[in-house]
Amino acid sequence: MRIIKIFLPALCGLLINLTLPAQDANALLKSLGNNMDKISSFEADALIKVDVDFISIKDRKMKVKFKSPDKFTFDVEGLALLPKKGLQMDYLQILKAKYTAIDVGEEIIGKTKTHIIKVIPEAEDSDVILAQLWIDPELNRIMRMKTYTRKSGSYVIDFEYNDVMRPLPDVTTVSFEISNMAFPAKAMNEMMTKGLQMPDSLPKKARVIVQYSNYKIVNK
Amino acid sequence: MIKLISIELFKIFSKPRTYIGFGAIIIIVLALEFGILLQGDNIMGIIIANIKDRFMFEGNIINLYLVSYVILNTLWVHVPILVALVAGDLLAGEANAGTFRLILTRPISRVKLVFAKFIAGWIYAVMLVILMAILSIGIGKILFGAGDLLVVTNKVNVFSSDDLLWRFAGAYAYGILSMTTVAALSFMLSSMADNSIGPIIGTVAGIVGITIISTVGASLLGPVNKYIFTSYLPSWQLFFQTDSGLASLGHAVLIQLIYIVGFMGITIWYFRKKDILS
Repeated sequence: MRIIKIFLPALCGLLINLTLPAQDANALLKSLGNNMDKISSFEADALIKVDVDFISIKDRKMKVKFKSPDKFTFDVEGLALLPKKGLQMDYLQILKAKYTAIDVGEEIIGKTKTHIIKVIPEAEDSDVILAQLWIDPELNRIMRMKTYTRKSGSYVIDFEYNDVMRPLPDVTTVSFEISNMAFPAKAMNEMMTKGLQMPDSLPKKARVIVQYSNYKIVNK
Repeated sequence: MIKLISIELFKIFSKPRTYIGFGAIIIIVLALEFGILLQGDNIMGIIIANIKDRFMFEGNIINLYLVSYVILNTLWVHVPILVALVAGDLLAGEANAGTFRLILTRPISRVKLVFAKFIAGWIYAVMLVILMAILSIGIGKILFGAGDLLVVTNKVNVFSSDDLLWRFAGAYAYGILSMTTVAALSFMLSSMADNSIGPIIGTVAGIVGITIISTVGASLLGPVNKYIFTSYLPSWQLFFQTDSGLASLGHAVLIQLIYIVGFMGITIWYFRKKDILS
């Protein structure tokens, strides 16, 4: 009985300590989701810069249109390469499903103090294994997101904002790794000259920078 | 000289074999265009499968420029055969028909005759490449429409449609140059034969054979490869590279010119001292 009297408060304290960060994390994620849920639709002009060593493409302009809850359309001038992840507010899709969230600390990005929240989707068939979100708790905006996926590897998205109040970014930088990507080049060129032989290895880092402008936001 | 060339052109276009070339070009272009129309998405899907894991493509990938680029690959084997079909017959055909003695009794030098025949053959080769360009772009425009060009080699290059006109013009011009080399080779063999089959087969076998040897034995023939003209038949691709492509083009053009001059020199030297027995 005496042992219970000593250990019960300690156990309760430990449980409270473990649960509180989760509650904070959940509240923070909910605020982030609510902030974005206010938007019914938006459209913006975007400039896409692809910074990958083995991809040569000039900057492309496109029109991005979003309609709540999750419909994105991209109207591009010519042919554009867009990152498969990172342009469609992927974090909202993660937050709309069941997940477990843990607050793992704080970090300053630029001049903004952010909370780092680890999000583990609970669905077994989820492509995302783990997402780590850096959230600005004052303005309820996401500043950075690192995602580990089953099919597409890991990628980091950095969000930059010029407008203090707008929840949508002015610049999004998607960084990811590409390793040993080989192309069946001879399918396109029947005969290759010596200068076009495939290299043994390719660079690891890839970056796509998207600069948004002329936002037209319609709130609910 | 112009009259001589006109006569030679008349002779070329009087022969049914000349139209085999034009017919073949039409069939090749139509087959490739409709093949790409039916299966292009699948083929491109395979080519860009690795990039598609990380990138999504927005825009029209399969367009007239991509199709024209694919068709340009026929400059390696298909078009040389068609060029050889006519160029290989220019001198050997006369020998075979027994008309040389008659022609050479006219007051024109052998060198002039050789040049007139070669220029006529060259005009035919140019017409083949131009027909290929017009058909590729024309039918491509109808079937696929315009767009930016995606070229996958050891790199992924995306060219804007407003940056493509000069690249294709350059590629076709280079195609004409490389076909001139093929015509000169075939013409040289034609001067040495009394039957056109030999020069035609000799040209095709030469191109394919040298390419196979230089590809299979690349490690052994590495230093020699850069002086063999067949290595530069696909150098039109240099117009579709963003880095160092055009820098290498000068060497490719120079090699082709050296071979043209060399083949023509041998032809003139051989034909001038040739005994005309037919």
